[in-house]
Amino acid sequence: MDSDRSEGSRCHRVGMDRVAIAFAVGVIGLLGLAVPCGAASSRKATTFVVYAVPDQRGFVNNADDRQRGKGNNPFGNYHVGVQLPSAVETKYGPFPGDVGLFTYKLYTDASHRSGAGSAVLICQYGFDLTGVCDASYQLAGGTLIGTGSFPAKAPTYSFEITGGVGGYLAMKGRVNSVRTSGQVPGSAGLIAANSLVLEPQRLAFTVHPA
Amino acid sequence: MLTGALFVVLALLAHGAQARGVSDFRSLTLYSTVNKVQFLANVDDEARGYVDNPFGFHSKGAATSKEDQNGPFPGDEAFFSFHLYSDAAHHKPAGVAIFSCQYYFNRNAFCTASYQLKSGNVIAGGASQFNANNFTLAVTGGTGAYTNTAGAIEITEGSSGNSQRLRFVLLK
Repeated sequence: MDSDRSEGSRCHRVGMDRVAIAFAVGVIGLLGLAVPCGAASSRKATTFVVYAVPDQRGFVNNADDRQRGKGNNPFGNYHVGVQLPSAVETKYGPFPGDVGLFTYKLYTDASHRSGAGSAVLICQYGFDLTGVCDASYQLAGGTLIGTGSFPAKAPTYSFEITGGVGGYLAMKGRVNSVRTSGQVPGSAGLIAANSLVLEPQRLAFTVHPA
Repeated sequence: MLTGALFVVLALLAHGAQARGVSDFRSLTLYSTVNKVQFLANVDDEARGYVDNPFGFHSKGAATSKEDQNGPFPGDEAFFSFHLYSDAAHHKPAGVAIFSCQYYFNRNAFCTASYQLKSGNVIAGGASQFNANNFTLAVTGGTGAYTNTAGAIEITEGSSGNSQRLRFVLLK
């Protein structure tokens, strides 16, 4: 017995005429639930490119919590033998437990004239400057959700697209990011200051129905 | 009329699923009530991060640290647990759910959610706004009966202040 279905419904093969489809499209629009986009008419992959320009940025420096967790934690004295190179965040960070918050404006063109939406990247940092990141890409046709990991100084990164809503309902795939400009002015000498997350990027999406 | 409209909606979604080569389409409505809430006011870590970070930027701090007036602030976190029910009256338990939300700018958060139902777990994630009455999460996976499931969960405010209506659209 599958009791999760108590107030739900399950469909396998249902036919309908064009009038019903037209009516349903209107109803679905009212309910805010979009039908999968045009690409969803088959399992064929769709590719597209948008350009990201950094908007807002934030950083959660958990230095005090990290220090408190040494020897005062439920996992034992795991810190023994683990030596962080330095607690100087500006030169050697991000350290485990830190969080980076980055938002972007998205454009359809490389000259950043035609808006395409917005994106957010939230990275929880672990060891070796590497963050595990969640991403949300809010585009005109819907929203794509992604996840992945990359070192703070990596010149490129790739995320898995794990799902979507609206026109991207149930989409999977991948997004590859590369920088489209040089270094951030005035950031020379800092370890992570040239991070891709702070620079304009070209985002190449390949998505397909799950 | 409403029943007819609902049937047509489900029929169209099923039609779309069939066209996509999806073998199974399921619509599921559940109801939730908030069980526990834990908020992490990371104001000290946020203030430190404004000036002491590895990315070489200096941010302006929040106008006030009073979370109850202007929060949540970027960097705050919130954890929620929910009881799930299959009926709007909250009489028939259907499982539990947990939410983990990381707040960023303008009171927005990225939340990951796990819905632990009787025949498996549904995992979802997405952005939501602190004051929103409804939002939609993308289903990113699942376990048990929900292995390899994709789709979306539309979450709307319920009849009482701490309840929600959850509409799952699940495709395999």
